[in-house]
This record gives sequence, C-alpha cells and structure tokens, in this order.
Amino acid sequence: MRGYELCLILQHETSEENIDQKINNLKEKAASIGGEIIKIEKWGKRSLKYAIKKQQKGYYCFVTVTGDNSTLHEIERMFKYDESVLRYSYLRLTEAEVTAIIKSQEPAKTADAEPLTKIEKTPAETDEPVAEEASDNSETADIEI
Amino acid sequence: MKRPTRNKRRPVYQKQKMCRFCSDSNLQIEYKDYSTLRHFVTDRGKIIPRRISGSCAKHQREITRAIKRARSIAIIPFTVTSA
Repeated sequence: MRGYELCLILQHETSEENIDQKINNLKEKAASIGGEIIKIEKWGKRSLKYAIKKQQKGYYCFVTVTGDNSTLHEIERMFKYDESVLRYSYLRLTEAEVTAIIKSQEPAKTADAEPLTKIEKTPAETDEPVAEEASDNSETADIEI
Repeated sequence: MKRPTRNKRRPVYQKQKMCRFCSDSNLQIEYKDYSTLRHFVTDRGKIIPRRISGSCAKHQREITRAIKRARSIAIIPFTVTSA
C-alpha cells in the first residue's frame, strides 16, 4: 500500500458544500478501488502567485490517500474532467511518512471532542470563516500555523 | 633591522556560513511551507545559490526540489516581473 499526497487547487468561487461533496466523492471513489483517505488539509482561499486558467485566486486542499497506482489513476481521471479543478498534483510518500500521518491522525479520530489543529479540518468541521482577501502578509501567517 | 611586515598577506576572516537546516534539526523542508522557502528565493523568484545561502549540498538539493514543487502549485512564483 502506497501513500500519495494530492494537492488540489479549486476555483475560488466553489462553495464549501461543493468542496465537501467533491471530497466525499473522492472518498467513495478511493474506497471502491481499495484506497483510503487518511488526511484532509484545507487551506482555503489563497491568491495564486501566477494566474492558472485566468484565475488569480484558488481554493487549496491537500488530501493524503493510500492505495496503489490504479487508485491514483481513477482519482486523476476525476480531476481531469472536472472544470472546477484548476490544478492537481500528487506526490508519493515514503512508508515512514504514511505511518507517521496515520499515527498523528489516530488520536483525532478516537477522541471526537478533542479539537483538531486549525490547519487540519475534517469535512464536517468547515464552518470556520475563510479569509476572502488574502494579502501577501496574511498568507505567510496562514502557513506558519 | 626587522623587515616591515606590510607586504605580508593578511588572512581574510570570513564568517563561516552555516546551513540553516543542519544547525536546526527542527526546521523541515516542505514544499507547502512558503515561509521557510521564501528565504531561499530572490525577489525575482530565482533560487539562491548555495555559495550565497550557505546551505549544505544535501539540503540545497532538498530546497531546490521543494521550490520547484511549490512553483508548480502556485505557492512560489516562477518569475516576478517588475510592475
């Protein structure tokens, strides 16, 4: 079983529900081919450093998936034909990285009451306000968390 | 008579540059981490060479990889043209 980190840049106009729905679709798709989503990291809306498909802003989302290459191919096909995905990329993780992620996610899964860190939100906990206008300074602050 | 020492070449003392990632093991090179990577990129968006930044070969390789990865997902610009 391999781990991959997917990076998604969605159109910034995409609504939260739409994004959650997309992630759910992704979850189902991955599960149907023997994969699993182990971590979802939403950065929210950020300005892009250069225009992608004539868009200056994007919604960043990082998803860690375990599975094999067929899982990845299926996921890739999903993104390819999705208009709202400005860009996607994936990165293969080492086994040590995958186990570290699984371990770090475990306490969050078992103890529901325990709040997750700001950067790691499960799809259910997206009611946090997202900064619409991200200037360069606030951007750096966002990542430093 | 003692020879004047004026012509002797004086040793040039230069402050030893330290690799930031070697000296601080807590610092991680991550392509998503703009705040760290931005120190290794010029205002124009170029990758700062090792001889200037002082990073070791191993970490410079990792930095370059991370910067290129970050560029592809629009976290770091490829070029910055003056407005």
